[in-house]
Amino acid sequence: MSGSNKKQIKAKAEKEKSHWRRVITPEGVPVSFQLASRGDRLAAVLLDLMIVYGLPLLIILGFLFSGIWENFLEKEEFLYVLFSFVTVLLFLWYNFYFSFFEIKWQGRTPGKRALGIRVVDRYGGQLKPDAVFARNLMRELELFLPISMLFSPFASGYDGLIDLLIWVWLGVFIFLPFFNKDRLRAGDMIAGTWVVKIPKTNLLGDIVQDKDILGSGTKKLSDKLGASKAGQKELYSFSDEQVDAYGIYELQTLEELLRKPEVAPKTIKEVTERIKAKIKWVEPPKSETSSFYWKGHKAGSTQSDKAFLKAYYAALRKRLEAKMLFGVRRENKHDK
Amino acid sequence: MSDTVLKSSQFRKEREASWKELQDLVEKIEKKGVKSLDADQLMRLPNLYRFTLSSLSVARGVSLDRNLLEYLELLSTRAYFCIYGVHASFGGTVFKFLFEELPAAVWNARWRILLTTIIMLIAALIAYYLTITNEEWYYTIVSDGMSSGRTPASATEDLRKGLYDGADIEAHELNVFASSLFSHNSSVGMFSFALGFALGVPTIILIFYNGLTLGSFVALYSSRGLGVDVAGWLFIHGTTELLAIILCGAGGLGLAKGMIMPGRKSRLSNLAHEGRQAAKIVIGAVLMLLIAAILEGFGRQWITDTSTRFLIGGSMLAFWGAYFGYWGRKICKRQ
Repeated sequence: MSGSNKKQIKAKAEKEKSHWRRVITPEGVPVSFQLASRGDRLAAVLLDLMIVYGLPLLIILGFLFSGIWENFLEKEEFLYVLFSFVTVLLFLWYNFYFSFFEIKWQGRTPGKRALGIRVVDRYGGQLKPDAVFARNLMRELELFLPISMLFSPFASGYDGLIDLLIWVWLGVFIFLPFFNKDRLRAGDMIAGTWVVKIPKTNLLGDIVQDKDILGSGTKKLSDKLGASKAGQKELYSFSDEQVDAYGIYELQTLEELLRKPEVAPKTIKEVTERIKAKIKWVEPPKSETSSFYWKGHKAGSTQSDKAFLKAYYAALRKRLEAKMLFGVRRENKHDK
Repeated sequence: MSDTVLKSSQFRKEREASWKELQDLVEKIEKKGVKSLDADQLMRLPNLYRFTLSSLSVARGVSLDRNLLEYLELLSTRAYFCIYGVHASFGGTVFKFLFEELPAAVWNARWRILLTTIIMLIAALIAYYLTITNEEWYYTIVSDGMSSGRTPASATEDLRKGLYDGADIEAHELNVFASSLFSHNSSVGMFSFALGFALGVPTIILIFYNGLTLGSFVALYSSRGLGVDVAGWLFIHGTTELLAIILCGAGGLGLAKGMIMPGRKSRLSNLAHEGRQAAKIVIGAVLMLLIAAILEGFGRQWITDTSTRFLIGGSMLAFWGAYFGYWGRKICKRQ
């Protein structure tokens, strides 16, 4: 890995980190999550708006086309009651749709749920109904007013100027999430919330223990040889200087390489050679077993490289973890 | 023990099963909600959560396996949100809101409410004075939509009729009237709260304008010797409705206060605190506007006796005073 390449990776990692936030749980343990991207949030709100406006429209259209209403034509009183009932219901639906779902589904509306994002308390506490109401009352200004302005005709002259001023003013609200690093909209600010995404991860096998990852080649080989783990360890035994060559950053980069399902053999070979050069690796004396080993393994040199990397990974991790237990975190190879 | 087995691998091996169990529970909750868990799983959830959280703390100290650390961290986060998400029974929330949170929030905002009331009263007095001295002001202050034909050009008898007719209107028609009143007023109220975000200036303008309209309206009627009549007409629902509008305005000013005077906390965290308190007030105000709409839509149309109107409006005012002033203060002192 060249120097510039590494710098790029570090820059990328830092950029990713900047979207990560931490909260301290009431148990006192910090946990982290990712801020939802603005695109995700926009998509979620558009989806929600489609439901907010589309659903009542569909129901009313269905009502009109189904012909049920013909039965009510005679009953004027009933129509009045129905009309006022619908007025209140629509008011509640438009104004409390977001609040209702965010309370019921733990900070998720249907749109947010589809995008896999949710609202959480910015200070690590429970998301309370008052916070949900606060952030959604602001939508009146941030969302519904601009929408209703969009559908009203553009005035000219003096009124047009006022319209323009209102648009500028509204623009401040609409683009607020672009001007702060936490991507807060006005509603999030007054409610003390933010919108986050929690990526799902799976626990992969332990490189050090998992036999499958440890290299099926090595395993088969040791079966063939009847060699125990200890025998394999003899193949790769590292001195203290050799395991002191790298730090945590390099260890985890190596982990990433080993966990990748498909890596070009060339990369493995390069990395192996680089490490071998760095630690001044001397090929073990060709004892009976090892000569047999090398002979049998000529064809699969990638496998042997991988086995070497895994063995070195195990040794390095052991060394660094032991150091960490004594309170020394060696962040990278330059760290003494 | 073989030398290749690391302490961190051992650590992982012993705990892995519990993490997986928690992962399964969390995935179930995320898909189907907490209610999909049976009693046994529900009992296990907090234990597994704390177990995993402690594993995470330990793992940060002993393991350098990045995948493991990331897995534990994100699993803990997901479980944390499952446990500390909104968990409120609807009935309990409403009860607590009505009997504790709302009166306390209003009592805490009493100075802002007083300020908003004074602004509205000053505006009303100005408009009253202007309209009494020159009726032309009425046209400037009261918009066409608001006046709906009730202008200085109207005959006194028409104006009087406007205050008292409606007794013969059927209930179902009033339904429509009341429901549209409610949704309109609530939208205005919520809007004036949201406007508080712009340092409260638009909120004050809105409240001031409301006061102007009110003052001008009263002036028109009192110049025709209908002062007491219009007062009764306004009083029956106005004590509730105007108070609700004032509360919304005070909520908006709360936001402004959070931004302008953050006190000891940071501006953003203070804003969050004030915003939540203000949201409670506004939700309470929406409920009040519902009551006001019923009083206005039905009560005012059916009850045409001025003294009864005063009685109802006055007892509503007394009720709100006791609810916010006495009960709210008591709750605040208890806390």
